[in-house]
Amino acid sequence: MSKKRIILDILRHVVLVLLVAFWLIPIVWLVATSFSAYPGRNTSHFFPEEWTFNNYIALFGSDTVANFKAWFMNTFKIAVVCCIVSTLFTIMVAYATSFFQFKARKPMMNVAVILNLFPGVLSMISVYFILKALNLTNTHLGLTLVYCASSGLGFLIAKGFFDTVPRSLCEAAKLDGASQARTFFTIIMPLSKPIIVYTIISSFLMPWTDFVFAKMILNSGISDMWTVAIGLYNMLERSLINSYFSIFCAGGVVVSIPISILFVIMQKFYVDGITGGAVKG
Amino acid sequence: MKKKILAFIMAAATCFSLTACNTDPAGAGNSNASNPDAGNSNAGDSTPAGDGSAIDLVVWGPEEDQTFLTGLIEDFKKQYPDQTFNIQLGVESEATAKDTVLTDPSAAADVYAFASDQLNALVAASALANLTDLSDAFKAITGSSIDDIMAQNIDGAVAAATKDGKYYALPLGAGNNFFMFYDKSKITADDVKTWSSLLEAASAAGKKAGMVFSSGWYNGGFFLGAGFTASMNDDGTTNIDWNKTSADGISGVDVVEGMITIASNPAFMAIADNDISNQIASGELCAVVTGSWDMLTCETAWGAENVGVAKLPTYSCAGKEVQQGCYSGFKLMGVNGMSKQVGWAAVLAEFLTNESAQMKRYDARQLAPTNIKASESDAVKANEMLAASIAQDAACGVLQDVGDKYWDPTATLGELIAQGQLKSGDTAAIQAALDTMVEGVTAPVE
Repeated sequence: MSKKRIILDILRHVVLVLLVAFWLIPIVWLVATSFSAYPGRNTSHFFPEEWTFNNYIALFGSDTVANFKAWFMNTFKIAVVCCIVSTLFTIMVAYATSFFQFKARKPMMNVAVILNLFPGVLSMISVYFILKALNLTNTHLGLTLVYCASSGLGFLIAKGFFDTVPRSLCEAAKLDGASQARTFFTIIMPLSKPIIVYTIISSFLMPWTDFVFAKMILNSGISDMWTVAIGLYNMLERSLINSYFSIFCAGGVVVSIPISILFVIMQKFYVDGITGGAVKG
Repeated sequence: MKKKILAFIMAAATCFSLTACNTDPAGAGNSNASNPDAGNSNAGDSTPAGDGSAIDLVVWGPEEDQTFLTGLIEDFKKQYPDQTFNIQLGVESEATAKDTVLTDPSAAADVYAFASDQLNALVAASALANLTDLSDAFKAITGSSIDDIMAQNIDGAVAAATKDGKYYALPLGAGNNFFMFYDKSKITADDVKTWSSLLEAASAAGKKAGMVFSSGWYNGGFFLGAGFTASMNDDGTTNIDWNKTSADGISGVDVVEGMITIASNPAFMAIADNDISNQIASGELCAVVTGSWDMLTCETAWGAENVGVAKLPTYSCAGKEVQQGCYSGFKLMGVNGMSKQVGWAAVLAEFLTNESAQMKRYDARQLAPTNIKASESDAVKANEMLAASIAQDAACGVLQDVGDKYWDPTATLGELIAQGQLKSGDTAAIQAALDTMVEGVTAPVE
């Protein structure tokens, strides 16, 4: 190895180590603060002076400020339903647009892409009043509907993936007498694991992290109804932050657990799908 | 995700157009009946229903009040055993009630607590019922009129709940102001009488004295003390005269000079808004200007026996010592003007703010009562912190009455002073900064 190469290597790693440090500092701080025995904000120490596990216990206590158990279950319920519905919709729309030739296919795709370009926040107020007219505000059904609705519009990336699946596979299935549904579920789906995993993760994350719509739709102030995002935000209120900040940090740590688990499970399929070959010769 | 909403609207629009095709007029009528907007100005609704059907009410109170509000609501049900109630209790801080209620008044609680400076905006949006007009219905249930109820409260609180001669809310607590907290082990009660002696003592103790300059709520105190005023018009714009000369003959430039003298002292710490508790906990301060909500933080940082409270110090300005003023406010309980059960909601609001409720609230969160009898009780009288709060209001408390445009320009001015960007003696620059601030505050509300 030449001297120049060694120096470059060292330089590169130093930069990487610095980047990692910058990136990890907030996360380390969050985890450390979640174990702090001091309940409020204290920026004079990076690491807490006294350590305790009580914040995590208080988080699941039944007081209305730290009603994490209810919020967690609410969010989880919404996220799971939304994840299943959105993923099915997205994949099916993508399959139809990729594999079928039908009238108005191009115009419909164009309309979908254009609709997708509008920022959804613009429609927030109309969404609210429509839900209210249907008596769906302050219900988890209403919130789930908002998250799932039009998930089919997000088909573009999945369609791009399906376009790369060899047509000969479908033709072979057809010759063997498989219906479209069977082709989709037994031939295409197993081949498309990476994109399905991507869709599952992104559609699970959306309700899990959303604040804006949840805050708007669940506006009755009843803390049993809230999602994790609203509940944690409420802890930062001026009169509460001094006694709940460390618990808030604990909440921040716990929130990341389901996402991490989902990702670890899904990652395996992600790699499988990419490396697996289908057509030989 | 957000991009997916448009299609949802299209789907909903389709639903609506289908509903419109429905030829059955009764079906359409039903969906209107479930719309709470209908209850707005309907006089028939203001008389409490006595037919035995359950009364649905939603109450919003701040998080600190939840436990004792739950108890009070149970007591309320016992008080009226002939009527079944279905009362839900939600969480909404008094400080943010206006924003949440105005998002959609018809979806807001029937009874909610809010800070008195929000009254005008809430009345303008019909989000508060006129209690004076409800007096008859109210008297039919409780036996006392609204006037009697209001007369049990201190004058300032009643004034804060009144607009155009009508009562729009019931007072539940006072003490929404700020004053001086100090560490008795480091400085004495005499030191906190003036800013100069305070800063000298803090410096001698090796500590700092802190205050928020970058918020119009706190820094306005210097101007109010010098006789300046700020008030809100009916259209939401704010009148302010701080770039001129006050009734006391002090010019705005003099006040800023006084603030610069404080800010440039090395023993002074300019605290960022919302960072006060954090700075107290950091242990660098021996005196701080804040409100009753930071009592616990001070006790933790300095030791409960060392926490002293006093009214705000005087500051030197135009060659004399001027008492620093403050904005004061009250916490009120209002009845939603769009409630379907305005009458019962008013009765419940009264129950949650009467003498015994105020005593319970005092026990729970040390909030100064507005009820005259409650404020004369021994427990309240013995409370040093409330005494300081009341002394501050008496010395120079001005009922907060400013529009939304007030906050940003005044915060900027405070920030300029705190950061030392305005230099002492540079009269032209100070006057220009004041003019800019006044222009921003008096700007029309779009």
